[in-house]
Amino acid sequence: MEQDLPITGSTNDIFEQINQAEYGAHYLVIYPELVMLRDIYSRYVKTHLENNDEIVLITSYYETIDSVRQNLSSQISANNDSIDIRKYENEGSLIIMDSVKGYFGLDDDDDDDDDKLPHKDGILTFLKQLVKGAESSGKNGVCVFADIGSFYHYHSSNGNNSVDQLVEYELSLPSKYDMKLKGFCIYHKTDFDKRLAEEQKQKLLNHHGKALLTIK
Amino acid sequence: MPDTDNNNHKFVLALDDEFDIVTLIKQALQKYGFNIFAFTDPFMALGHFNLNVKDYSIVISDIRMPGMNGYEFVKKIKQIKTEVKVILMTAFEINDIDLSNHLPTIKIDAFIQKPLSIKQLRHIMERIFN
Repeated sequence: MEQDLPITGSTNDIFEQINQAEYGAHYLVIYPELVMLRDIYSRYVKTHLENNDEIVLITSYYETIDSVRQNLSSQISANNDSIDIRKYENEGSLIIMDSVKGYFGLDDDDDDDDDKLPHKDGILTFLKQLVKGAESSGKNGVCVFADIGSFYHYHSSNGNNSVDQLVEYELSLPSKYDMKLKGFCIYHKTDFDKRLAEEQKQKLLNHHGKALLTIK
Repeated sequence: MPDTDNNNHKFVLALDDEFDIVTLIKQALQKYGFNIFAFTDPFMALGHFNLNVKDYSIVISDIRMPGMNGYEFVKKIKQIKTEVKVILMTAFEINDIDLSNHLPTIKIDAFIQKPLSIKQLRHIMERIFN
């Protein structure tokens, strides 16, 4: 198999790569520390919500929804204006959700955890609806930051290998979306390095339009 | 809370990928004389537990951590020492069904909802050791 290597760069470099991505982009983004991911998504959200040109969806795993809100709110712009998160959430320009619920559709009373598989069709349907919603409200499209950490959440509870499920899920998605959607699959570096076999890493790197690695 | 002298021989392992959290736990429990070892990396924590298994009596672990989540960590810990007490922590919603699905055969001695309250931690330690 041909060896693909991720594009490496500072948070600033990776932010620029993400910010310049065109609709249809399906990128893989690896981050070594949460603070770097926060910096990237906060800058992106700030830029695009203030321009009122996109719906941004963040599915987080290693931080709570409230933590994401707090991080976004505390990002201060050059003119010391903070982001009014609730306003954007209320008008539907910003959606923050827990990655476990987003991918595995858990309800609190869901007691059937024997076979937790990602709801691929449900996710794509939801994204298509968002794209339609963006178009009808005069926005250019949708951007999703999807933390993949939730796939390992069930690693210890079911007999199946959640990493295999993750790779299968990723490869079932197109390398380029045929709608006004930018998809960024977010991997913590420790998960990427320790949970995935070399062959699986290569498959993922090859499959995504770009693979970006944030470095210190 | 058990007296400080009695706690001197009790090893506590605290694991959370957030440095601030384990530091807080370490500082809080050191006051009561526990020998507390704090880790942000599950693999290092597991290695230390393995080397000092005879001394450890309690493990406090976060759930959502990169590399190895709290459920996986606790399973490994219990395989090494079944009688060790376990406290799980999380900032996320969790219910009994979720917990029993992840750890169907493992007893969790206490559960802490973040944000961490030192008072709550103290009460839990007191209950476990009494």
